[in-house]
Amino acid sequence: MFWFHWKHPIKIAIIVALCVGCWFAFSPVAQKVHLGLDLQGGLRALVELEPTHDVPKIDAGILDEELQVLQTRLGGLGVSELTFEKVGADRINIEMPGLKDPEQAIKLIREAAVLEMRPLSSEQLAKGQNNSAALYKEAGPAIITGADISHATVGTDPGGAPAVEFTLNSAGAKKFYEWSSKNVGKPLPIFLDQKLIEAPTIESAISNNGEIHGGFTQDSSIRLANELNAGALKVPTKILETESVGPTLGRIDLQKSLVASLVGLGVVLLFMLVVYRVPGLLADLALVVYCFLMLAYVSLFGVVLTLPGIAGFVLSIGMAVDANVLIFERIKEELWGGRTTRAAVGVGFKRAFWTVFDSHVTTILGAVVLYWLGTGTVKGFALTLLVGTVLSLLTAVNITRSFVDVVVDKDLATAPALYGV
Amino acid sequence: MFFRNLKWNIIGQRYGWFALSGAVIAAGIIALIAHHGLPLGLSFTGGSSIEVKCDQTVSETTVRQALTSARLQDPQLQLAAKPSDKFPSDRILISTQQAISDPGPVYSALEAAGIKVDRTQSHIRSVGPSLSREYLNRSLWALVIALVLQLLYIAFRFGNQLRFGIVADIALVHDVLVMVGIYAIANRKADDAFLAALLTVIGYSVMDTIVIFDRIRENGRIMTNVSYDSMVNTSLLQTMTRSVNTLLTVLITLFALYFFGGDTLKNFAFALIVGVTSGAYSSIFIASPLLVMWRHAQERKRALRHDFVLTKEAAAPVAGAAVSRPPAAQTPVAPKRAAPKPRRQAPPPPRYKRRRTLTDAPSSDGRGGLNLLTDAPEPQPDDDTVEGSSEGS
Repeated sequence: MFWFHWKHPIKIAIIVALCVGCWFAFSPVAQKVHLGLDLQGGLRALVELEPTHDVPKIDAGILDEELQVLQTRLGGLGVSELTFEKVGADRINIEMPGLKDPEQAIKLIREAAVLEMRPLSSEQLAKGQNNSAALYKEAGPAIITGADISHATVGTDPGGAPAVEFTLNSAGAKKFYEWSSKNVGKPLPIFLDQKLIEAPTIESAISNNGEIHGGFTQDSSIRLANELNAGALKVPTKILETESVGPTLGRIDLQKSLVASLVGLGVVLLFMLVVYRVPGLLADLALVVYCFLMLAYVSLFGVVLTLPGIAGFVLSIGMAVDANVLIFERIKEELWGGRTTRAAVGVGFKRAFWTVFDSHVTTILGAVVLYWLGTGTVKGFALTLLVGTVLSLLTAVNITRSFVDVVVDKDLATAPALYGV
Repeated sequence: MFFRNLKWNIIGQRYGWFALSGAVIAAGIIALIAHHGLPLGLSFTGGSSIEVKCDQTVSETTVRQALTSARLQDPQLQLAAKPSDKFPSDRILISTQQAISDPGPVYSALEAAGIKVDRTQSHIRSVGPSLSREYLNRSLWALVIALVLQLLYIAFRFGNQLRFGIVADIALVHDVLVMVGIYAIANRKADDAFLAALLTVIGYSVMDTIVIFDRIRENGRIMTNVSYDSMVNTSLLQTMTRSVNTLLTVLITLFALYFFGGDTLKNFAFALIVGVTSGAYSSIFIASPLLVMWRHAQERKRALRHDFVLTKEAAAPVAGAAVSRPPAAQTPVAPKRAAPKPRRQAPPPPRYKRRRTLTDAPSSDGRGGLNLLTDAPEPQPDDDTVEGSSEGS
């Protein structure tokens, strides 16, 4: 490697530059690091699309359309980092960190929001007042559907209750005018997902806009307007898995895991310093460089930091130091064997390298399998452990070596006692 | 430094170490039987768990009554509180086999009964039944694939020395058994965090075994003047500081997670603490003694073969060989034990005598002992002197 033939000042300058670069990449941490929903509260839902009679097979086109609809619907909830991820052929993983109202979001995901206005006679309506399903079966073909609506907003009815106002597009307006002008005085029930929500009577010919009053609450009126704007779902959705974390709970977990990480890091730094003295101090420096690199990685690549991710990070600190323990123990043995510090350092690094390499390979194997087959949040753990292991091979061997070389070449520490012997 | 100068006969105490591991694993198996298998977490069983924080102390009866209107199937209730909470028993943990994706009805049922619910501190997780089966399948596959990959890596590292590879595999299985067993004893639920811990521990265990075996191979080339037992024992003591220190650095971070992290991390850290400790233990106290025992078995077998040749060539048995037997410090070849199964053609009695003659006869340098490295009767294809990429530390 070229690295070891370079002059010390150059190497040290590169390492310092790296740290400064990392600093700018991740500072200020609070803004640059994205927190997962388990740390800031929010909702995660794994949704499966179910084939229907009309759509017997979920293909890529359907998945895309459905994703579009869900995106538009949930986009109205005011969550800044909404992410949608296609999983396999018929699943969508939705993450909504910072979501305040999971119940509303679940309904938005679930409700197909197929709006239909189907004619019924007054007698039929009076007879089956409480039986939506029977009425839906009896009703004639739909005059107007959700697809005819160009825009919906939340309004209030004369009594002040929430209502949904809609504007029809030109095709819908034409159909509606034709039908309503012939059927003045007759009811035109409105069905949402085959459930009767309102049965208004046509008072005069209507062309392009109207209002739905379905005994709405503020929430449900907002939701319906939202759903009408986004369009109906092409196929029904089934929620396979959800996780919803309250924001305060997330914040408590974040604080706890930060304390745990800092305590772990601090004790490991102290341990290395006490046990291995001068090289221990240098390994500590390398460990700080490692933490900088990890933070920069998390910020630059937009990695969402989750609780398992932090666990992976903390564990990788312990494993990064393992490499140094291996090397320094070897150096100590060479010193006992009667070598000079310079020779012992050279031989120690050389002989321990393959062992260090082994330890990294075995860890990487496990992490790769976990990332590949692991489920849900475990992937976050696998990814940070994987990246951490690769980065720690760099810092624990190369960067520690660079520091140790400087100390040895300048004869700054020659007494074996300084190496923990 | 400390361990190096210690007179600690780890290899000699091997049956004690085996018994310790055996006891832990046996207890684990009993616990597994008692629990009808490993208790599985939500990800693998499906269902829902809801943690509701209330702004008041609640009682189980009121909660149970309130929940009737939410129509949950057979809800399991548990009341809890955290040290930081203002009210005692203000958290309700509800678990059910039903996958509830919308917690709304549960909240409103509680609120209807006059219980103040703090939604910002609530946690809901639900997994559908089909998905949980899929998760379990995938996790088992992940475990199998990870094991196979590690076995392949071991085979790659010890390709020309079957014995090292197989013993490393045994240590690996040992660690998995200990982790599963202790999880069953502690009655903790195995979820995806447990799987993550298992896969991490498997890697750690293999690494730890490789480090020690590398040293044994390295010393096998250098220390040709001592018995195999004491060579392995010395290797263990030489690497002991390293083993302890690497274990400590990892344990430090894990205990930090265990004591300061939240509940989720606690569970995960527990699994890793058990597994990593077992991984370090098994490399020293299980894998290395097994290596020695394997070697003894090989020696016996080789002696038998050699014996057979000798019996054919010179019929007269060497008398008084047993008298010259030196006091064995670490008696690896137990003379009391029955000889291994005889080869079909070999006549048993003279062979038995012969065998002892050969192994116990003073070697050429006048040093008595069991050293077959120097006076091996035939080429040993899988000897420690085989050149390998071994840089032990």
